[in-house]
Amino acid sequence: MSQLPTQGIEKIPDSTGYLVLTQDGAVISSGGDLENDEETANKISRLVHTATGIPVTTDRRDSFKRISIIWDDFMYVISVSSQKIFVAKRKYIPQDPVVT
Amino acid sequence: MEKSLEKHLEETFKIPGVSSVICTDEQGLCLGLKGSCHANVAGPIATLAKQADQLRRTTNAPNPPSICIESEAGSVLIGKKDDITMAIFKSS
Repeated sequence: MSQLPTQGIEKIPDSTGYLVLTQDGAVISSGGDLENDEETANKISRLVHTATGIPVTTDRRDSFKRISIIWDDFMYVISVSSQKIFVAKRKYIPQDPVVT
Repeated sequence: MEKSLEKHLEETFKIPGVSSVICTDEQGLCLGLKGSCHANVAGPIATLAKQADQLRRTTNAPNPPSICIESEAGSVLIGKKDDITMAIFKSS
């Protein structure tokens, strides 16, 4: 069975939209709020390329596995896997602080 | 102004797990840094903050977004207030 291009990203709870992009920002798959949203796709692709220029740790082999961009009401979660950029748009529900 | 920025950097750098702190202006000029990171990351950090801010279509966004870049060994938190962008590098 061939693997789905979305890798199950459309099933994320609280997700309001998703995008799967190639390295150069072309849309492979999209849905929800982000359906055929090429403008956001281009912006995210540029943002991911900028993020690759920021060394997270001093170890050169260490590269990022996730970027979260969080506003007061929603967030984008971006991840890169097998030459593809996966983007999920989700509602932002802050957790209550733990009171001990 | 420099004194309060230095103090702020110093206080943030003391937080456990923080390996570096850097402040930049909108153009990517490094305003101050503490720790092991290099001043030349100021440019990408300012650009990233600007690009993330542009991702929101509506212009009535109350606050610029917080950005978190995570890897296996650490994370970078980026926040913007007025014209200053601050990045905190944490190692896990």
